[in-house]
Amino acid sequence: MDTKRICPACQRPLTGDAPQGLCPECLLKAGLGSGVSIGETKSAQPKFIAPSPLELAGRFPQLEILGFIGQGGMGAVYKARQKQLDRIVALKILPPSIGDDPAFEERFAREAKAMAKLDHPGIVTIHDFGQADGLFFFVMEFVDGVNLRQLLQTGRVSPREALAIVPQICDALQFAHDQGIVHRRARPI
Amino acid sequence: MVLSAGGSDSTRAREALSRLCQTYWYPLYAYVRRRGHSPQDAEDLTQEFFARLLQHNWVALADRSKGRFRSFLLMVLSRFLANEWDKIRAQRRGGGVPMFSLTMDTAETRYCLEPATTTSPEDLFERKWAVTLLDQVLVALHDEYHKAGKTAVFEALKPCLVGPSKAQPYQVLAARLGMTEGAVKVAVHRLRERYRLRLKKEVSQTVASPSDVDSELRHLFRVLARG
Repeated sequence: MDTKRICPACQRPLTGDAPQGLCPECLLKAGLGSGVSIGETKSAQPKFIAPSPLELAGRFPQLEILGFIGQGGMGAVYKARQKQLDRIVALKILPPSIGDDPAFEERFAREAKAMAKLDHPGIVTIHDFGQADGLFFFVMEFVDGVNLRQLLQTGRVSPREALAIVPQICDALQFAHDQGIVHRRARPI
Repeated sequence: MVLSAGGSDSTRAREALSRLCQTYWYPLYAYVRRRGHSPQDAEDLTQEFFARLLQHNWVALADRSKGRFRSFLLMVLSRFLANEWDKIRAQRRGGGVPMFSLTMDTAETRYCLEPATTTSPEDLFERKWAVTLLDQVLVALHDEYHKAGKTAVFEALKPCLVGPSKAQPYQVLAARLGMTEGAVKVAVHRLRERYRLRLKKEVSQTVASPSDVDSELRHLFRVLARG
């Protein structure tokens, strides 16, 4: 079962450094108590709280949401199954605030179409994209395992292994370039 | 408390400082690593830093950090890295035994588990500081309950510290602990009170005056809320 542990109070995934398995943010908030005001938070935007699989299910009737995989600044990813095709996919939803930018919808569609042109073993395949009840989403190929950054962080990648990965990345980037598509975020870790 | 001693040489002040260093070394190690130093260098640097902190009277510089041991440490550490490291490395051969030694065998293992994000060294330091503090508080709380023969109660009710949740209804906890639901509610209330007390106590060790505790708590909350 690959569901991450979730804090029962804020519904967010527990970080690796959660003291005694408790969400540090909620712990500290509880410690502040009702007598002390929390004051201004750093950013004006409310933090994106990833919906639980149950909450999502209603918006994606064609998908069975199997579990929450992870969350970053650019949204949340879930493992899901396309019911009709009986295929495992990844569902990525973007934070609702992203729709505030009026140009976003057009850019989003353009990028999704660009990605859909790229059929390559080193590039995650896009199956579908759109909006569901105002939530922008992608349905993508599901790739199991850690990403390159996580792998390198473990410090257990030998130079030989690292070298073996590089040509695959170059190959994928080259393929994209040949289609007139530039990554723009490729950088050494 | 340490900072209000104003860098005096009293035994109590030194013991308090020493205890703080033993508790909060990891955020400093993480900072040094995130600044780009190798695991071995980071370990040496952190050890050396603490040895010097205790040896010299750097705590006298504390007034610039507005009475926060956390920010004081970060300020002095970054200055140390900038100025001292090259000199120390040059002098290192046959160098003296540091007066203060930390057991840092878990340092790199823990650092490897840090999430791979673009967090700056300063942000990483702050977050690790907050988490270390919470860890200390929970350990102290656990010990308190353990001494009273109430480890089972602590372990069962600990999840309630983060707030009310539907996942742990009092009914279920009551059945598990062989208590009435009412008794569970009281026990949870008591645990939360003890937790808040210990949290404030731990924070007060790291600030100059009791009136700073709340603002330090708020700061730590903001740090954690940044994610």
